[in-house]
Amino acid sequence: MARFANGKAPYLRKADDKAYGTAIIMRDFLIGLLPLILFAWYKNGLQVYLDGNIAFLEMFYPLVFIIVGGLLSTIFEGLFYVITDKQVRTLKALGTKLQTSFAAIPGILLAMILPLYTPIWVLVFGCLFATIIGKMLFGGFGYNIFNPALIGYIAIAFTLTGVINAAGGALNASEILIDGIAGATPLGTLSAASTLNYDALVTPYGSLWNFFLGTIPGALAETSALACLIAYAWFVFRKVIKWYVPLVFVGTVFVLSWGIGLAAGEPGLWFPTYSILSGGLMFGAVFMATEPVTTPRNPLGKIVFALFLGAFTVLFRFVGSLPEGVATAIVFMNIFTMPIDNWTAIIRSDSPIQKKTWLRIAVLAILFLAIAAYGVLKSGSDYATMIVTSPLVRGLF
Amino acid sequence: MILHKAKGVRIDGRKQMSKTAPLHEFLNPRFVYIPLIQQASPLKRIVEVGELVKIGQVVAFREGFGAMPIHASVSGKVTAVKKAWHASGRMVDAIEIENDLLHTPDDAIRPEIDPDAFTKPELIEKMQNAGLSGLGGAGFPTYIKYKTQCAIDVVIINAVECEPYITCDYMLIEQLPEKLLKGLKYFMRAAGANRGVVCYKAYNTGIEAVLKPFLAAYPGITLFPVKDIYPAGWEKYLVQQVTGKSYANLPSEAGAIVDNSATAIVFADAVEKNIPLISRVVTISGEGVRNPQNFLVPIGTPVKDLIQQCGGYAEGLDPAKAYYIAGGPMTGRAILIDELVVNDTLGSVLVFPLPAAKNHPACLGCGQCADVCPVYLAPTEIQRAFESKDVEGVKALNANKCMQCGLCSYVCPSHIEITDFVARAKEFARKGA
Amino acid sequence: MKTFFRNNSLVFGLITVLIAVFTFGGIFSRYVAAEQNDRIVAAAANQAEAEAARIRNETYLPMVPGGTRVDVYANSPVSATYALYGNRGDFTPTLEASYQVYTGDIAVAVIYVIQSYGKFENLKLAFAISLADDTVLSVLVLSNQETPNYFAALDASFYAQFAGKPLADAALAVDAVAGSTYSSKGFEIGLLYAREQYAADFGFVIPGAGFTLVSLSYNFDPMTFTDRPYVAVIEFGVESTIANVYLYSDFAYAGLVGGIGIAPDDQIQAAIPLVAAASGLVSAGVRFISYDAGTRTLVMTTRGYNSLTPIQVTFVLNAAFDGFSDYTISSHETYDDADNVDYGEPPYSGAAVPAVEAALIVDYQTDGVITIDTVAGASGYTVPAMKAMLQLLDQFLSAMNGGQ
Repeated sequence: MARFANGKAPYLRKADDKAYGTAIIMRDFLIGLLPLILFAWYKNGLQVYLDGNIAFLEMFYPLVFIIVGGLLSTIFEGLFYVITDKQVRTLKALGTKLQTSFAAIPGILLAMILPLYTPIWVLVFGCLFATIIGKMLFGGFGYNIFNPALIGYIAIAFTLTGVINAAGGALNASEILIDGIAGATPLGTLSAASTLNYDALVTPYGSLWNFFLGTIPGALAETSALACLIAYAWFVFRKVIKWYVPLVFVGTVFVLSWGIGLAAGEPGLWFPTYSILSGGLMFGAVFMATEPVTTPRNPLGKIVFALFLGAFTVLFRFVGSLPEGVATAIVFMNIFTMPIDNWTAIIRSDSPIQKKTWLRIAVLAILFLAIAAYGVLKSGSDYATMIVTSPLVRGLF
Repeated sequence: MILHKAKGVRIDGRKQMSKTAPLHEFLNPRFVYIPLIQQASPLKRIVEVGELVKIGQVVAFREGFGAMPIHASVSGKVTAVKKAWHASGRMVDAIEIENDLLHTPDDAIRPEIDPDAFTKPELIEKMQNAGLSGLGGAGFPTYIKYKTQCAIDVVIINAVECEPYITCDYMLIEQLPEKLLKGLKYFMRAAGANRGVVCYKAYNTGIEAVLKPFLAAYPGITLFPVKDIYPAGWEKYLVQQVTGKSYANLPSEAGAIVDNSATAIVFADAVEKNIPLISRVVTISGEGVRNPQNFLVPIGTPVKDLIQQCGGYAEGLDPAKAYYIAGGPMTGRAILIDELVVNDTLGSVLVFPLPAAKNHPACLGCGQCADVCPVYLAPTEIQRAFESKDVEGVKALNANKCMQCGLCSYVCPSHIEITDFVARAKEFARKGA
Repeated sequence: MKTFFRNNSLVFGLITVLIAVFTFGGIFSRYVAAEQNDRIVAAAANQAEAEAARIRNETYLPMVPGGTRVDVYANSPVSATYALYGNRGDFTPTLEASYQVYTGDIAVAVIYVIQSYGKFENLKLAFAISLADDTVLSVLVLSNQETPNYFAALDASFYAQFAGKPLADAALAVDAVAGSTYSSKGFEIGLLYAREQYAADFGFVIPGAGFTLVSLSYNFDPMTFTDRPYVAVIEFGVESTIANVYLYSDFAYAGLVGGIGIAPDDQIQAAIPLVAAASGLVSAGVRFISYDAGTRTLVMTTRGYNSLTPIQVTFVLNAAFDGFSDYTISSHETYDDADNVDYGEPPYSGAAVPAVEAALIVDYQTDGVITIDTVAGASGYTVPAMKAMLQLLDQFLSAMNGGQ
């Protein structure tokens, strides 16, 4: 007669597998980030050094910045635990706590979306906001409503942009020498130009290939669509994210931008392509819109979330004059994650679909179409009135 | 077009370990303990302590819904009415019979001269009299299914056995292929169906090999391989695959009846020889057992005897850090004391050590649970509604559709007991109504 | 105290790490930012410079065939005075900018941007002069305040005359377009000034007029001064011939005084006006118009600021030629305007026009000396013009008096 262990079915769990677990997820995530970090270091560090525009030591700043970001958010989270949790008194206990809370991620992501010459104290401020206010005050990992990195980013974008620009801004030492750019990132050029003209928006930076490769001015590590695609492929392969979420998000922005172009008299495909390749949209689609804690938890919910993200990004970027369309859209949509989760869970599991559920479907559809239509028509007409001449059809690239 | 097509996930089978040894007959336990409970209904005992019983003699009655007789699985003397551990995880009353090893059959057990002449009602009566219940693990009184008013086109035999470790159905079919087809034939006649389909996992080419030679003699019966996913043995999945139709509550709405392969084999004996349900195959498997294998045993056999037959537990097994599971690893139940007895629904007993304890994060919100759910539920939402005591919310989320397959907990990277949460939510909503 | 640290060692440890990260990170980022700021400033300066160069090239390169870039040329502006066409007085052009045009690394031309005066002032012209052969390459009008119709009459052929015009041409005259003479003369003044500047910068020798202007003064002979207001003594030729000559109001040669002497040849005659006007020895604005010996009525004119309306005064001289008994201002330039009611203090302010002109005349009449020095609002042009006229009157009286 032997006494056996108690437990709840099922007794096989993937999570028990050695090839599964927090460490693996973290490792996969960091490997996915690698193409972007390496490209960022190359474009903002090595290449500029090889051009002869910066000193050797300055070349490592991008790497240092990102690492410091990760360190800062970890330290802040650790401090929070140590100060608020009586149980955590030793380094070992803290280590256990931090093992499963993915502490470094908000800091790393925040560092990657900040401009190159952001002073460290601004990064500290941002990481503080991101970790403490964006994550820990909600209850720590798994309980936060908002994407922590974006909370930190918005805190900085709405208050310290001037400081960052005074310290050097987003352009690296090679980019400030290019006359045509005049110190503006592509979206800065867009808001200044107010016309949908290929030569005004794209040509100063080269061609759309530059946008795709990421050799354009922008934040530290979010300019390269190619690197984001590599990360996307890796994440899908490792099942870290769902393949359709970035696709729906980017696709929605593409289609709506095309609509704006059409409404403004610029039907060329170059404009929606330019739209999705600029403003860190690819980065946001692969890394931020797929953030599991703050986005809906069922397939239909994720798709609906991505659709609304696309509509709001277009709205904030083209109609509003907010500093960052993608970041604001994501944080804004985070507010609605829970209702969307609930409604789409009901819609998805109803078979046959009941009357109340049809109502829910209708409300979501109407909301989305209204926002998308408003965004397209309003900004389309804004651009149309400002265009004096507009080339009729522009080929891709 | 089916709106919610049943789907599943491939999980590691671990079946090879119990297939290597042949099916053993273990028909001489010293004592059997016939549990006086079926599904959740207590049985009415009709024999007294001290009475002598023969194999197949009625010893208890199931009353009310699914009323049918329950029979003695060995011949001997009723020595006591004791408490025994049941697959439901509780101790229940059981009729203890001391085996006289004479295998004396009851008078009712006699061969039928012309089994093909039986009419539909007669066959259904045979089912009832044999005390036939779903041997796949549900334990549903089989005859009730055939009393449906719906027109039935096809009888589906579920030989899929989608849970890991279990191989009892496979081994039995390998031994008695023609009995399976006979049983299916009688089921078809009892249902009034022209078609019979045997569903099995496509990689089990052994089943195909043993059945194919006999198929010619059984017109209307075909083989239907299915994908190696869990829960491919789910009723709804099979009905959708075979008929292309779906249903709301019962397969009969789609013109199908689904029965387990072992049930069909017992029915064949019940029709042709009037042998009631008195034995079944049990898989004893798991990394915690020395020589995993299958046993054909009388109902009520103590599992301890079988473990002993296997050579005992694996070396160095610490029971406190191991699971002893009645049923499959996905839907079974952890039994705390290894004094379990075999009942009609016990297809397997698994012993394996607990996995190494790991530090798990809070719910990541990855949504894998919602992804894999075969009935398209969102388990995290149901948990949320349950935790905020929202009855309407739980109902709106269709929690009642959950069939406890366990896939959500299986895939959860944070090792959250999400299946359990949904079960509790279901219970809460049912009571709260 | 010690136990406090030990109990909370983890907190302090983390805080220490935080401070370390912050400090070292901060130092690094400050260093990096400082470097970048320097580069940004440099880049901005470069870009401003490049933009300016681009504008320069865009504006001036078309003037010089084969030119590849335009650079700023540092020089010292020369000073020169010219008579405005139409007896409107003197004008000193200003050199606004100088550029050198290069083909490759070789300087091929120089460009002078000059503020000239055509019909109105602020006629901004750019002259391009070829360094190789001292010829004008082209002229470009940068801005003007001329009368649009007349200025538009300056057609392609007008501008074409500048191309290839050699600076060695002594007269360096500009062929005017009929009806747009004032504007055309503005170009002439600009061109002459450009030559002066060119001579100063590159050692170009302005071809001598062929003569030397020994003296230039007003013609006090009432019989002849009406149409020949100036007399000049010129020395010319290899033998240094001296000649007294009359000059018209535009300083053109008007013949030998009394018909005596050897007349200068045509070329010298053509060169006289320029030299005379540039000499500054007489003011082109002040002169005698007519004199009636019988009534001793002398009509004089002078010019202040108003290029259209000269000041004209008729004096009735004393028999003793020591003053005048009466005067009449037949044309004046101060005016009664709501804004200009106050010409200075009383007695001018509030008085009826031409109070300023009259006051100066009366002042002179009183004692033969002008004591009024300034009149607010009129001291720039009107007062000096009146003074010049009254001084000339004084000289005339002296001449009539036999030198008194």
